[in-house]
Amino acid sequence: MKVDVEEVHSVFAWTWHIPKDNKDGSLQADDDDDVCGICRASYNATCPSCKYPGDECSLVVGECNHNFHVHCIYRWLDTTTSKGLCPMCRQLFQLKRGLAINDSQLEKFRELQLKKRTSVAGEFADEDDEEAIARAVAQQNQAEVDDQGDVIMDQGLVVR
Amino acid sequence: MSKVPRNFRLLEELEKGEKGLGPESCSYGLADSDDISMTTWNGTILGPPHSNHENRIYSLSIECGPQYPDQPPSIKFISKINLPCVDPNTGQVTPSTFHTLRDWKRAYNMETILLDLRKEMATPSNKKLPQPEEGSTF
Amino acid sequence: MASLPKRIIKETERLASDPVPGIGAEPHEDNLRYFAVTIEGPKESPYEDGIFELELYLPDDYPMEAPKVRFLTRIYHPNIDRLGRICLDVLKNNWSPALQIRTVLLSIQALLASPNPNDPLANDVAEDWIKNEELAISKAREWTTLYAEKK
Repeated sequence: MKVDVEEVHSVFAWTWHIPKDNKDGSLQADDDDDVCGICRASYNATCPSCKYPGDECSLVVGECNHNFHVHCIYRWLDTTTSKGLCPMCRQLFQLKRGLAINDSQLEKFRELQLKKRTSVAGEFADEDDEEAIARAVAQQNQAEVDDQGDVIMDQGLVVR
Repeated sequence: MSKVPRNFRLLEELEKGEKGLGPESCSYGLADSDDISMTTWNGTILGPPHSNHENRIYSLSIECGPQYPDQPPSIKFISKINLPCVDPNTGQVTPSTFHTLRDWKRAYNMETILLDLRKEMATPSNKKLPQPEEGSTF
Repeated sequence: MASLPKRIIKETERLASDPVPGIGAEPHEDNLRYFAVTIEGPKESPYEDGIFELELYLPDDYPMEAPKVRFLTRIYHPNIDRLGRICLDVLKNNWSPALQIRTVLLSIQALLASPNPNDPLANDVAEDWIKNEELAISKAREWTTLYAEKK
């Protein structure tokens, strides 16, 4: 029998590979709750501001092992109410080091932390504490020097 | 932007009024602090300078009905005033002659009305109108 | 009106399909961010015989910002003022986007079970509560009979 192939539709699926520490030290995909704790959409779907899932709307893993769409957690940490805390466990939210999934976001989160620190210093300045602002500026300058090696800007990041 | 429902909108206005975040030339607050429906409000306008209203304080009563802020509140001067948009017998601000009520928008609030009434007092044609004795009421 | 975020749709559906015992929450047809809420007074509290009406609104920034909630039924409670405004940390400084409509309403129900006169909103009520708890509780019971719907 002769078969003519007229067209081929390729279909593929993908998911984020989310490493998770187990007690025995092994790594395993996160299976208990696979929705973002902020927007409640699946990790593999987008945050509410994005159309297409994937690198443009990536996932980040916290030091506390809580995962969020990067845009969701960024918007939260950018509010004053957040006080920089993880929505799930209320520990200071830090990106977990050494994960490929987080690497491209480290810069953005460092900038956010600095911005927050400067604005706190700004509040102190109202009470004539010029030292606080000087300290914050010094920290910022220091950070800029540190970071010059690996500037990765995510233009797609949606901040309200 | 979603529509803030009446009661939460009024709570925002109340908070702004309570904290004195608005302009100094007018103020407003709930007439009865037990009124869970937040219907009746008191307002004051400080008469604009360089007019016959200068240094006078005008009291008003504002009623925010169930359709507020989709519909404008009803507003009435308690202190006597001579102004074209105010009914000379009752003190009622007449919507047909006061543009802020006539062309009402949901984004307007009680502060908008009080500030616009104050502007009305200061227009060239209104600022020198003879005024009733200070302190008299409708 | 902008389309409703998925999270709000999901929360609304779950409130209907898997309701919290003693708590009702239904959106208004003309504003899906605005909910009519009922909370049953918790057992062994002065509010136990009543059903209380509240209103809840999800602001544009929800869930980055807490829902706004207010009692529509008058209630004698040290953390709820005469206009029904509620003093509760998760509605203000301790809000987290991991919380939801149902968890917020559960916190309010818990607040009815354990009033906190040391962090008052209704100052006069809190004073009564500290001075003479027994009397305050009987007054809370009285107000429940007067203003709340009977269970």
